[in-house]
Amino acid sequence: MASGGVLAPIKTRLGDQYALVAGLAAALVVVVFLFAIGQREAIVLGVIAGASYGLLGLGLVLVYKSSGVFNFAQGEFGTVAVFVLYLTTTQGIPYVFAALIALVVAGLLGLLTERAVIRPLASAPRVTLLVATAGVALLCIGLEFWIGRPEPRQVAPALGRTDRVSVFGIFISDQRLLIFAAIAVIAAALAYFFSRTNLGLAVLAASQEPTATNLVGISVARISTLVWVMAAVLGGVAGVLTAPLFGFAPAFLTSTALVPAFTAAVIGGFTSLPGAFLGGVIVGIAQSVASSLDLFEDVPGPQTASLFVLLVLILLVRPQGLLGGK
Amino acid sequence: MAGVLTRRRKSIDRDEIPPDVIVHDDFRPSTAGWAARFGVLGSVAVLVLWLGPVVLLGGEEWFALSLAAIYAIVGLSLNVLIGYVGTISLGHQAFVGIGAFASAYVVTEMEQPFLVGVALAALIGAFQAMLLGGLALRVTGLYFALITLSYGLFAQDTLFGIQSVTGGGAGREAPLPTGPDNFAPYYFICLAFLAGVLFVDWRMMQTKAGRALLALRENPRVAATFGINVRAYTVLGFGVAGLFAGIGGALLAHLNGFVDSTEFSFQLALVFVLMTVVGGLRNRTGIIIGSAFFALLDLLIRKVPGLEHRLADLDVTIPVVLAVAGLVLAVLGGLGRHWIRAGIGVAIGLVGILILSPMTVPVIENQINEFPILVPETFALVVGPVLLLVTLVMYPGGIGQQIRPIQHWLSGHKFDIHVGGEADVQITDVRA
Repeated sequence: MASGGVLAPIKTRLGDQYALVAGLAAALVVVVFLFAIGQREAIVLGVIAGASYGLLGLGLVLVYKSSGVFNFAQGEFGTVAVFVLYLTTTQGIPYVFAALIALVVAGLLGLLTERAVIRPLASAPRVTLLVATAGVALLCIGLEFWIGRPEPRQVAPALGRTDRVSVFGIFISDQRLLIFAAIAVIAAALAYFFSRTNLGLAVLAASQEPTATNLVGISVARISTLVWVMAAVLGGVAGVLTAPLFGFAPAFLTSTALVPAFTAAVIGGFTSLPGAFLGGVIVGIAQSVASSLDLFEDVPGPQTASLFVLLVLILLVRPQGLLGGK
Repeated sequence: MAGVLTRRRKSIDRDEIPPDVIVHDDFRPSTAGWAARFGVLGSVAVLVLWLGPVVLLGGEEWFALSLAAIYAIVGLSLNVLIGYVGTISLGHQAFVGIGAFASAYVVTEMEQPFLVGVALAALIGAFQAMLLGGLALRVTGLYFALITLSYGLFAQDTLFGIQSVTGGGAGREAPLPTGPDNFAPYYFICLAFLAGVLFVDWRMMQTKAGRALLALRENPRVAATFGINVRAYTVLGFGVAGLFAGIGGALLAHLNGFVDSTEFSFQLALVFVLMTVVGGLRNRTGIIIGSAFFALLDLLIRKVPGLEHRLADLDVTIPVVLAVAGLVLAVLGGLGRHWIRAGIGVAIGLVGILILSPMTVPVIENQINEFPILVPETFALVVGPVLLLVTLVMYPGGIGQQIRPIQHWLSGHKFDIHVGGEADVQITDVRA
């Protein structure tokens, strides 16, 4: 965002702007069309679902932006945090402290992952790192099955009231609103971090020129640790906020939200933090429309199918995403 | 940085003699030497064909052994993609599942014999893989990994849910060709197919196509400047991978006697990746051993005397060890003001305490008499990823790297423990 734009030739920047405008216009047309054929509920439900994807997607973007890695363990950072939240709240610890403990544990998990897996593989190909993070995710899943057995559970929401706000006749619970607020705050904070703080610039520098960054006296290794801890805490936030909506089981975030979150990040351009949120909303709307339109009634698994089509289309037509720089 | 980058030399072909053993080039084994080598090969054959299944396992475990052979075929299929073409596939359960449903449909609905089912499954598998390969020409690296992941889920939910072909949620029957519950001959059928797949793989890598694949894996652009048709060979590689996976899927369907979409979940795809990478990319023997290991893990736990019992003990021992070790590390780190080390210690300790807590404190409901025992499935879920991470971080060549000296000796060279060091192996290539 802040980094690429300055150096990019003006022509491509203009081209990107036009593409963005065209994309938003197309989105607007689609939304108006959906309104016209009476799919208002689908839009609202889609935006709500998309917010959870966007929240998980923020962590993916953070790791990609600063180390060029696709982090398949992001969902499991969240699930582990939810397990900790569950164990601590059932022990009678107040919710706020329990949530804090959960986030700290998620951060420690990120620290452990970075030290034990990411750092030894720092010079390995990116695809190897992808497999390694998938290994971390699988290990977490194994531990969760060991501790928790494959049964669904409920965990308390931060805010319990569900009938405060209503849009087009659909009640949006306070927990959902909290997710929106969290996304807005986190995206803004991260955008500020990357564009206005020295540490944020150091993170970007470390991702673009690791050797030179080391030479000017910034420890790339420490930056890497910092980024993974931040990402893990973000994953923890995503888990703790979304788990009360549907209940949770081992691997619930990885199996339900990881691929939509990746798709959201791809749509947003994978380096853009607001893009992750925008992508999440687009994915959410696409999924909910696909499952409610009569046209797709006979297609089994419309949500997964729409996700696959969306991902292939965006990668073929506009691989840099809607808001991503080249 | 530069040191790290240059440490792993790349060799062009695994089967070529590494430069550091050229000293032994004049060496020819004596008659006794050849006899010893053929003796070892012969004993392995006897072990696989007769001694293992009939004597050691008492002729009762044909099902698990057939599964091991099928997993080996799938592992070789995935090896073509990751090891030769240089693209990761996280949706390989789709490749296998399409083969399974195709064969089940051909055999039950069209009433064709088993072999026709397998052949058509292989062709359909190759066809769908080539379609996906077309996509791999446009989208590479990490993004393609994402596409395969999404494709796997799409296949599981949508393709395998098409009522008329797959029977929807009800699934489809796939009778065992050797008669009901007669698994013994089926094991040898699976072995025969494995041998066929091995032969095709071996021949392919000895020809122009194999060298072209390895070249474009290293660098597609450089390969193109040498006149290699990158598109054609990428699609060919995908086709071969799909062919193998289709065969594996068909065999799997008829082994289970039944196919339904829930079998082909994302976790199965991860297990496939796991066993291939742990086995060692571009090393056929290593991949067969790795795949068979993951397929037989349950059997291993059941058959080794006292192991299951010991695992139940470990259920308490491991978390206690973790908790204590974490605590010690945390205190030491804190004393030495190594805060990151202390944090890691706290994390390890917390994992131990977390595993222990449901046992000591009955916080989790429904667990009055079933506190978590390390059951075989969970054991595989924990051990598999640990093996994967250890392989990636410390032994990038996997099992294949460990057995390279033996392979080298068997092929008529002097025994050299250093053959196949890091110089010979590299996990995969940067194409992102």
